[in-house]
Amino acid sequence: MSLDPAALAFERVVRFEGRHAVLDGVRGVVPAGAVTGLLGPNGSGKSTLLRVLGGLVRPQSGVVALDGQDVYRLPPRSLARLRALMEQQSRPEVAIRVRDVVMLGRVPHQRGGAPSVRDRAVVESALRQVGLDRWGDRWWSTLSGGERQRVHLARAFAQEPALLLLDEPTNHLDVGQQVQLMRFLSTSGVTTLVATHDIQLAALFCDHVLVLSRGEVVASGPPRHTLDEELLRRVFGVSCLVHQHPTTGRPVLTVLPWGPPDDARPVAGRRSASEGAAGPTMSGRAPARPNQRTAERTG
Amino acid sequence: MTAGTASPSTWWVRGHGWWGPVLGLLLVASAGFALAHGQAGIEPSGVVSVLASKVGLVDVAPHDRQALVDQAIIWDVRLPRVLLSVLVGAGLGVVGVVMQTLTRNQLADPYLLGISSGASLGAVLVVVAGLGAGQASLASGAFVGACVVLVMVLVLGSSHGQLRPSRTILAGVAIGQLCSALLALVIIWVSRPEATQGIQFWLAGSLAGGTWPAVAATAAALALTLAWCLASTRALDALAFGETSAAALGVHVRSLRWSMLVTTALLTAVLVSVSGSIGFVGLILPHAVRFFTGPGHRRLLPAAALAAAVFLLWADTAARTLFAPRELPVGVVTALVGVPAFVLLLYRTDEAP
Repeated sequence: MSLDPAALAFERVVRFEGRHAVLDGVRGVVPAGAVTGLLGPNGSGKSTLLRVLGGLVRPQSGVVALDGQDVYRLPPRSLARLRALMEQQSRPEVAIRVRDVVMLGRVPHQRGGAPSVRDRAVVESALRQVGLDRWGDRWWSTLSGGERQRVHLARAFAQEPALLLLDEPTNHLDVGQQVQLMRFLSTSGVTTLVATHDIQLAALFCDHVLVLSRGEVVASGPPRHTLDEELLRRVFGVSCLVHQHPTTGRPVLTVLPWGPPDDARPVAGRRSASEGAAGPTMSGRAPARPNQRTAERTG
Repeated sequence: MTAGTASPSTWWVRGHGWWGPVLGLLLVASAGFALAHGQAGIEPSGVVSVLASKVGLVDVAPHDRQALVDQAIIWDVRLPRVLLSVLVGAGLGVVGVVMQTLTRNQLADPYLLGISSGASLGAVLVVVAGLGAGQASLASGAFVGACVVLVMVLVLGSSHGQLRPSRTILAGVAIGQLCSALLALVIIWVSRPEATQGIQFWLAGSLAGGTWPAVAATAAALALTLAWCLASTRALDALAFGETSAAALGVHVRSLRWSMLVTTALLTAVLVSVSGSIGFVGLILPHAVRFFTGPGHRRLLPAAALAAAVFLLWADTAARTLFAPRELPVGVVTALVGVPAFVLLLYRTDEAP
């Protein structure tokens, strides 16, 4: 892997489900200590990639290295001490309190028996981190969607992971909570990969984005070098304007109500595997079509 | 569950560990009460002297006929029966907890996989085949029947070597129904009174067959299963939010599910072969206990075992003494208590958002 420091690096990852290649030669890096956004339309393979990177699902081929260690060679417990995965959650079937949910994050650190003093301390500090320090005794069933999301985040923090993998963590959250959560992630210092549909939120808070389309990484890099009109047209099939905000320096998206020109719709044909494996350039730009005016690239 | 929502840590909730000693004392006291009550009126002092003589503290005068009769009643009839109710109750409580956790279904009980129907069929087939209607041969037939059903359910419930939980339950229900149908067929076909009695026993459940060998077999099966479950409490806890979530916490979900299903099903087979299928204990008690201990298995499993043991001990004592000299099937007693509790459970489940 060329980029350093890379907490997580993956190469040539291929994952078939049935006869369909959900991931077709994906490669990329997630830089250490930063928040990386994983973007892409529905069905582009975001959730599968998160599971593959988290070691929950084995790809048919490819390498995933977490801090230089092969994810699939690590015992599940050791892996669970290195990375936490927060998925779209199902609800528990039994009455359970907030503190017990967060304590589940200590499972990979425990050898049975009662929770240690340290386990308890970590759980309380995780609750404090997400602003739920007085909520330990609340029943899960009394929480709102946003509160549940924060409890799951606290559970992920209680794992004390080096890497956080989050699948749509801002679902069910209002805009204030979304900003709060993303700001919290970007200041936590934990290497984070967050799959999201919210391109604007990613543009505002991510240090780095990976754009996935039809099982391939088609662009990666800092948002302002990566998220441009041509890419969004090609990947999501939308016409939009991208500006750089004068104050934040971040890209601002204005989605236009009309569709893209016909030649800019997502390519319907099947890509060949060998071309896919060549992958994106690390400068973060997929090759632009020669006949198209590319978005202005600043900075 | 709505109680305690607003107030933090109500006194009876979690962390206090009061239930361990309380349930333990309750169990010992209940066992003492059950030993001292029965058709033969034996004074509590008589019970104590029998127990004392058996453990070698006191010598019984060889010609004291009353003492010898008391000894036979206490040591050979009541004590094995009391111990068997305790062990069967504890086993049902443990298996109920594990089944509810593994299937993430509140209404799962130890007989979910059709094991009790298999046991009944096995027992009746032993009678029909003329292999004897003694307790030992019936129990062996029931055990074999339960194991055959277990293997069939596991084979039908897995694909590509992986056990699918919903498929396993469907297979269990289907095979259970098949066994019940075959049972009815066999009963009508042979129309022999012993066979009818056999099915009566296995359908309603009874602890009247409490013998020392049955106690020993049940104790061994329970000890093994309980030890295995207690070694996996955190893995079981981690299943609260489903299998992916547990796997992300480093739990080897597939092997956990396999090993848990097989060990608890074998324990169920033993339980059914010594006592028939006693309903509601494994369904209700885990819920009742969870209300006090919370969902953590480190507390839940032993508490459910103790509470279910106490419950079944009282149910059996009631079954054999309330209408003495006639005896009620213990399953009738557990159902009489269990159905209202079940309705309460449904009511509460409905309230939970």
